[in-house]
Amino acid sequence: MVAMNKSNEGKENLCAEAGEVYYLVYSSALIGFTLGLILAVLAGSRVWLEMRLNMGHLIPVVTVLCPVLTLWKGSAFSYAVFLMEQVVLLIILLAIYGFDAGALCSVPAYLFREGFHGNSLSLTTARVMVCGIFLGGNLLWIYHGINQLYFRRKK
Amino acid sequence: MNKGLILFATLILCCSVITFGILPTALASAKITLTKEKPILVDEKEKSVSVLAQVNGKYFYQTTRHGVVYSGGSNGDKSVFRSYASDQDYYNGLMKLGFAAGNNMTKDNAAKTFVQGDLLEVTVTWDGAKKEYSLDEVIIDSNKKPFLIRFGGNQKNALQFKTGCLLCLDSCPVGITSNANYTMGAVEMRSEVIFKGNDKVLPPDGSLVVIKVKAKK
Repeated sequence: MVAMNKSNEGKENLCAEAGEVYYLVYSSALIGFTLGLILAVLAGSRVWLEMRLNMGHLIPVVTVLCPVLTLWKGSAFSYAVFLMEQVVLLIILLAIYGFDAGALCSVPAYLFREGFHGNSLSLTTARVMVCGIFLGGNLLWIYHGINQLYFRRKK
Repeated sequence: MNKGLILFATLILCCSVITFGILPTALASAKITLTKEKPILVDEKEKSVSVLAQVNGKYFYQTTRHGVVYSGGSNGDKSVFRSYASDQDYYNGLMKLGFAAGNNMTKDNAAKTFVQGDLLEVTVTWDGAKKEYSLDEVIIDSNKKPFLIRFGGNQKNALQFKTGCLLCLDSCPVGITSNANYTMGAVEMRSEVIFKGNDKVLPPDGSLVVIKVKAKK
């Protein structure tokens, strides 16, 4: 009985650890994705750079780099960072393109498409994917937060 | 009976006139006959070169100095129109029609030189378009100068640099044809002008268009 309890405890710990690693990876990937998009939008507004380089490549590079650095560092970013990044992205888009709804909806999608070499991807699909990443990211983070709160209360 | 026949014939005649009157007339739009497998047409009768291209909607919102670039070139994603025809085929087509290339641009003189060569008229059309639109209508010049597209030539540079440029929006030592209103660097170095695709006229991103180039009268 004691052995079984210890084995169950071990499995729970493993699950918790796996969960933590998963949380570290996806949260930092989201942070990286948003940071990459911010950098791509900023760099893309410089015509000289835009004419020579594919700014969209910043997105996958930073998306991958962030989890690697986070795993090495061992601690996750908070949801506040992700929220702030989204606000910063919106402010930068407004500053560069004004209140042009077409530009605000399309520029992130074009950069995303460019970054992942998806020129055959329609603009609508690219928009849906970008929105899905942000929406899904926010929901996952909120779910994780609720989960954490539930397990703390259970203990 | 004769009255009946006359009345019947008049009725048929009236119905025919009314029917033909209300039938929708064929749209003046050109139907795209070019394909991705055969993306270029050199029309010796009309003395024009037509090229199949795709709208890159990114440049409705961002500025560029490239009008039409071959999708296989290094600048393929940097232009308002992504061409399926190569810059070499485009060059050969213009030469076949007897246009004279300027070949006056080099990398050293590009910043101070306006492209020379035969003056060309460029129009764009697509399935469902109301007409053939001029380049001025589909690409916006912030200074509102009408385009002066000239046959720059530059075959050697085009082969060397492999940018794929068919039509540049400022004078270019690599693009086969370019805009003689501005010297190189006007867009990206000196910010003299901003060029963007006109989303109020052009069809959406990804739409196929036919770009026709012929002598300007």
